[in-house]
Amino acid sequence: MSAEFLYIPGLVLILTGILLSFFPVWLRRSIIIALPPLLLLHMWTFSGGDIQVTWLNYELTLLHMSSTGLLFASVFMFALWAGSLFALQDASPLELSSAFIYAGGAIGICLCLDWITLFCYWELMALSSTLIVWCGKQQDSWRAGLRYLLIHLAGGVALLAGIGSLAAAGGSLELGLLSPGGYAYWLILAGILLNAGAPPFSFWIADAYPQASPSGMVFLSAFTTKTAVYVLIIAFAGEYVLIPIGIYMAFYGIIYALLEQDVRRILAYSIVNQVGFMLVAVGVGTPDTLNGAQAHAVAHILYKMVLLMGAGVVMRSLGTTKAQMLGGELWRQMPWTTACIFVGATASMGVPFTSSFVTKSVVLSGLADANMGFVWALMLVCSAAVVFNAGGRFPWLTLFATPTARASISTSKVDAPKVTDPKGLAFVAMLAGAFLCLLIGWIPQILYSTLPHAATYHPYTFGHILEQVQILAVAGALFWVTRRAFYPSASITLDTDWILRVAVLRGWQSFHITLTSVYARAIELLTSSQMRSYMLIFILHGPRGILARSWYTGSIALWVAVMLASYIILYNLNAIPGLSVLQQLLGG
Amino acid sequence: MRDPISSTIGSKTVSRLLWIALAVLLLGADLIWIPHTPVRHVPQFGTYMLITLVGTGSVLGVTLGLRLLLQRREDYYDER
Repeated sequence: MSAEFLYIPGLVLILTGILLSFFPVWLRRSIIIALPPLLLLHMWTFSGGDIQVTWLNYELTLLHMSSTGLLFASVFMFALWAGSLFALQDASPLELSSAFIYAGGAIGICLCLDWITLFCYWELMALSSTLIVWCGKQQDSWRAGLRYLLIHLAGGVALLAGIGSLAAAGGSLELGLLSPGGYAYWLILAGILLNAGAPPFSFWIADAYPQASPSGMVFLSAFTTKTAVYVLIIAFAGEYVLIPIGIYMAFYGIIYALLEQDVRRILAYSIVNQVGFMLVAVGVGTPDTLNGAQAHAVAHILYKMVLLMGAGVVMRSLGTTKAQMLGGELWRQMPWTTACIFVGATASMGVPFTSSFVTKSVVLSGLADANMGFVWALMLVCSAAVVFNAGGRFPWLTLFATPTARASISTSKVDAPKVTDPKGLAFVAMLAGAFLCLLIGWIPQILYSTLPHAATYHPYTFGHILEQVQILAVAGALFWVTRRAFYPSASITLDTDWILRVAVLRGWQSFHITLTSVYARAIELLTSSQMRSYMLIFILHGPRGILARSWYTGSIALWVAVMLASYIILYNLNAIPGLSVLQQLLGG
Repeated sequence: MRDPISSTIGSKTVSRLLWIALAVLLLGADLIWIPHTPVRHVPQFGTYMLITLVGTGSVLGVTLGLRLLLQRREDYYDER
């Protein structure tokens, strides 16, 4: 049995992650470069059956190769490999270890077949991703990591409660489409949606991810939300609640990205926007939209990695990703990074011959075929509005912002910091991501052939290309006309995290103050009564207390004689007439 | 110093004309060639451009409104 565990890619990555920090640098580098491609090869060539263990009378399936799981696991493996190569330059061993455990959890979820195993991996992901946020070591990393952990542990509790309810109701714990209704169903859905960034907790993505290091955010962008999308595809396909939630997320991401001044936060909001797009597709639940959701998840992971690596290169050189500090001549200083960002941005917008062109259109076509004209129109707008975040605004602010808009760098060419293209493995990672964005766009069959449902969609028709050019032309023109109106200022935009960071905090503070004053009063009362008791005891039993004094023997004998005499007198009162009342009182 | 190329009136006019020509071409192509067959119950002409224009325009409008409502100083949370 123990040898079988080595066939489980998720477990191998988790074990490697635990040990990685203890390895010498050369061995760590070798493992990072070689292990993910080897495991990817293993996944695609594995011909054995499911691997199962029995635990508390439950059959746990630790390895099960489904087409959907394999697709997600493969892109996760690539994300781990490329992210690790990008991270080698400056990431701490702890961050690399956490990334391996984090990716192991995500891949474990994709390749398992029961809710108990899924939950274990789920929690491992929450903990390891929090470590990645903390490894960012930015001003707010610690507090943002705590908020992130709080949200994800709450999601984990909901998920566990749901799984417990499912087990208690005698339902099957095998991972698959859940029957709608019942506490278990809604609790599990709530737990999964928290990880997907659903309202009212969509803020955590933009709150926590940009607090990670340049490479940390590359890892974070790939795994958590997409794992949630995977589980939703498996267990909640066709759940209509996901449609309004997805629409909200899609528009929320666009609007908040437009108000953002930090380019990495723009990309974080763009993640919410695109995950919303996927949720709508899962909610509709037809084979076409499910295919589209999966294909778009893959495309999104790839182009978002490339864009985040581009932002990471800038951050490593300048130490900031505030839009006011970027732009100007940066595109001249790093032509290769600019080219990769260009590929990532065009892929995010769905420009023909890039990855999103062949994936988003599957979703849109599926929505149209499902007779959901209104939802289709909304998603069309969301698809076009990517120009306002990852597609147009991000590269413009990062690389090309005009001289009148930039603040510090361009005003003095002498003082302008030097930004250069990444070198070595980081460059290979960025280039590999950009290459895949183009490859999928040019040869969509590579991706379509891995989808679970038969793909009949043909993206390269004259009509579709023309439609997409029209959409992008209109959105691009609007962006260009309004770009200065939305130039970022040094400000923040309130979000629902205000409830957590201000309302709940203030409530807690006032509760704490009340509790403290009540406690102090109680202590005061207790202390004063205790002190009085102690004083009385001290008076009676202290060194000079009346009961602690040493008495002369004669004095004691005298007092005993007095007491005896008193008793005899009282006893004999019985004989005196007229004193019967006193006798009765004395109980004689 | 002004860019000698972009400040030339002739080239600006040509540039604008090119943009207008592209827009007309796209709209015209939309009117003529695109059947929009997958989507029922929506007009068959200029659908994509119209929806994009109205939709993204609305998003920009809503965003401007929300900016007035929700934007705060950068140190808003630090003060609290």
